[in-house]
Amino acid sequence: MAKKSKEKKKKKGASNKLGFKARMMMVFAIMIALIFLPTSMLLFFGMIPSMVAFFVSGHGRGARASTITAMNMAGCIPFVFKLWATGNDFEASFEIITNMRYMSIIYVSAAFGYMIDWVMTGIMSSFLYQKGVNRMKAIKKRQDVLIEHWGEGVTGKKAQIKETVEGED
Amino acid sequence: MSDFDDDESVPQTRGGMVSFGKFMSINTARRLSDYDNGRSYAYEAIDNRDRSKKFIAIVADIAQLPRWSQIDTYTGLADTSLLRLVGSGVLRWPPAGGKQHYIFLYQGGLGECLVKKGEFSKSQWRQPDVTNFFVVPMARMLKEMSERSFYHGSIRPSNIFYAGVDKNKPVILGDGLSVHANSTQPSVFLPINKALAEPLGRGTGSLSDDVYAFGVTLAMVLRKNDELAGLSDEDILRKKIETGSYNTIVGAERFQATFMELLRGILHDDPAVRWRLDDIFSWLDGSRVTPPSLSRRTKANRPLIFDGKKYLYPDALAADLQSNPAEVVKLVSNDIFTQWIEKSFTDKDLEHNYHRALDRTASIGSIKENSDFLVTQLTMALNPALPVHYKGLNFTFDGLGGLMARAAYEDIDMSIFKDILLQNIPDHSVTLKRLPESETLAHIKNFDIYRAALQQKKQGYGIERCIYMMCKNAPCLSPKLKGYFVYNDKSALLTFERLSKQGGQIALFLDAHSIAFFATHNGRIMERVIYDLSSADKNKKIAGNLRFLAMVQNRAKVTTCPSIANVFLGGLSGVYKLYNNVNLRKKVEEGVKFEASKGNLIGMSGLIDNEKARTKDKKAFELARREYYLLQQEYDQYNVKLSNKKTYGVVNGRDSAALVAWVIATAITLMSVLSFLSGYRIF
Repeated sequence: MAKKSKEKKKKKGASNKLGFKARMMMVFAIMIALIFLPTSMLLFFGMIPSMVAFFVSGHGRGARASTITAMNMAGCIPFVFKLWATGNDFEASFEIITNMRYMSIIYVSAAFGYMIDWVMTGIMSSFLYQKGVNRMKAIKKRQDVLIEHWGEGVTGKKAQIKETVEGED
Repeated sequence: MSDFDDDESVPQTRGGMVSFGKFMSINTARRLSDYDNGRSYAYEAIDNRDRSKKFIAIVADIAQLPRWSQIDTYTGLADTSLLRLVGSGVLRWPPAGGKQHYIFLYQGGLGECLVKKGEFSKSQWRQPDVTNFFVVPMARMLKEMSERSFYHGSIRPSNIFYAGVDKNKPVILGDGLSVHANSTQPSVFLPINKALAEPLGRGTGSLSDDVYAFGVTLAMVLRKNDELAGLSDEDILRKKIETGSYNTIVGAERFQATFMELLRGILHDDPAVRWRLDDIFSWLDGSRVTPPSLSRRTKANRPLIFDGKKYLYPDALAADLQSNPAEVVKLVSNDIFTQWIEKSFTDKDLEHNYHRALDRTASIGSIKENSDFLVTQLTMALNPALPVHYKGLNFTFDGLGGLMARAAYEDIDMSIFKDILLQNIPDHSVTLKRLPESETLAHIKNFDIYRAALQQKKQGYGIERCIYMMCKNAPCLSPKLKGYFVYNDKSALLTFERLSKQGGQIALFLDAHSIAFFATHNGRIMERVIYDLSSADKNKKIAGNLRFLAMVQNRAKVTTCPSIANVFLGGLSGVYKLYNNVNLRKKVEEGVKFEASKGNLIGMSGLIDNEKARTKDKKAFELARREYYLLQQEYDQYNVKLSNKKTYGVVNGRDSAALVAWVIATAITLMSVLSFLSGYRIF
């Protein structure tokens, strides 16, 4: 038992621990973020909806977070260029972050992402549902044709009943 | 199948005349009793094209077991002293209420019979004439018959004819086909073993029996006194057992010395010593042949008292044992019998046979409970020449088949015959006979085959199969065919057609008897349908019946069987289901109906048993079943998925939304990059 629990802990630890490549990437990203600190600051505040979406969305709902992130990103990019055009310093970054109009644009674009997700999901599921219903109808129709041509025997029900009876015997 | 077989309803009699075949008529009002053979009665028959030509029609009922299977052999015999068979076949016999009888049509104008019962020969032949006109033709006939393995079985003075007192012509031997071999012979004309057996239990006949009957007949032709006058058949038999056949038949008669030699040779009771044909021909040639000495009977030095009588001879005791089985058990249990056998004889064979009989009885159970078996075994041990006695049945080892056929015909319980075969009684009998070893082995091999058939549970086997294997002349004894003489496939087809016309028939024509009969006589055809006939599925059985009758229709060249076809039409509804495809089934059904309207069983069977179409249909059906199964699986999956409309397609929808969002985001990013590079500021 003790061995088993140790093995489990080992496995859990291994899965929580990041690999060497990931660690290096993280270090690289932190270094980049430190080098481009004004941009990083803008993106940190601008991408809050995406971060929320990633944390809120559960397992298997990465697609919605991705949609929101894409639109959130599309909202941030023009302001990143604006930052870079105006000196790329803390002051300019702070000005953008504190500008309600700019931040509204960024957050509305993220909300637009959420809307795309809602609309597209509705349209697609209705379409696929209808497609499924149609396929079921087609299957029934084909099965009816088979029964018409081959009789009830083609359903295999008689054989199943016979097998069951023989099995009981 | 003979040209004379009728296929119409009961023939109409006009002035007592019944049509037989295309050109013959039998006069039912004109009996020719001189030519009767037992209960097979003779009638006058005429040729309608030339009414001056007279024929003898001998009418045989099934109960006589006429020898239809040997007709071809008989017609192949060329000897002019044999009664010429003009035709044969089945006829619905009006005097018997239309019940089918087998008719043997012989050439007429035979003259008188040689010696009438209780009379002396009227031929007034001198002794050389007896040789020329009787002995020589008889020997010639016996030779030819034995060469073709045909044994007459009805040689007696009343069945031998001569042209007349003034016409010196060879004799003509009468009918031997209309009855089971030896079944109509008075016991005086039979060797002791055959005479003690029941008429139908006397076996298939043998040259030795015919030679013996010829000897008795010769003695009756020559005699001037009747040595046997006033003696019953039983007395004659008793006398034969006690003094031997030669002494019984010849007695105090004094014939020419040469004839005495011949008679001593051919009337010997031991078939192994009895003169053969070669000896008779040597005698005819004038060569000196030593007649066999009469065998000495084994005699005890003190008698055994059985059933109040004293017995000194074991062979005489053997014949009486069956009269009181309880006393036999008592004598054996008290060791009186054993002491008599061991101390009163010096015959080691007798002692050995006696002890073997006791051992065999002990091997199946206690002596008391198996008293019948004990009596049977002791009878065989004390007198191996006697027929088998078992529970009131008396038969030779090759005569069981005839008795079985009679029992089946009379609807008697067959269990006794099963016991006889399973207890190896015929085998025991044959091993005690002094037959050549090869012959004994051949008989035992046949009994093994019969036993194997008896114990098989499959269709076409069982006691029914044994009947037809052991009695080749038994027609089909199916209860369904009562009153009909069905002896080959064509006669079966015509009979079924008649029965179907009368109504009340079902499509399962073949029962255990008919299957066994045709498995014996038409094995090749039956082999092709036996699998279906043995099936538990009724539809397969019906299909098997149809296929069999179609093959018979084809073989027999019967153009139409509308009534049988109609019966099948009513029973084939389930058979069509052997085809899975509904359209094909309908097509087959329509085709079968069309063929049935023409009475064409071959066409009907061909449509139902189209192996190529059936295989194709089966394969296609398997594919259809698989397709149906896969479709059902898919349907079930959709059914589960679509049961929650809210969640169905959400994942695909989100993936699509993400794709759209990323496309828009990429477009905005590109526009931003371009505007940044071009110096244009959006904000």
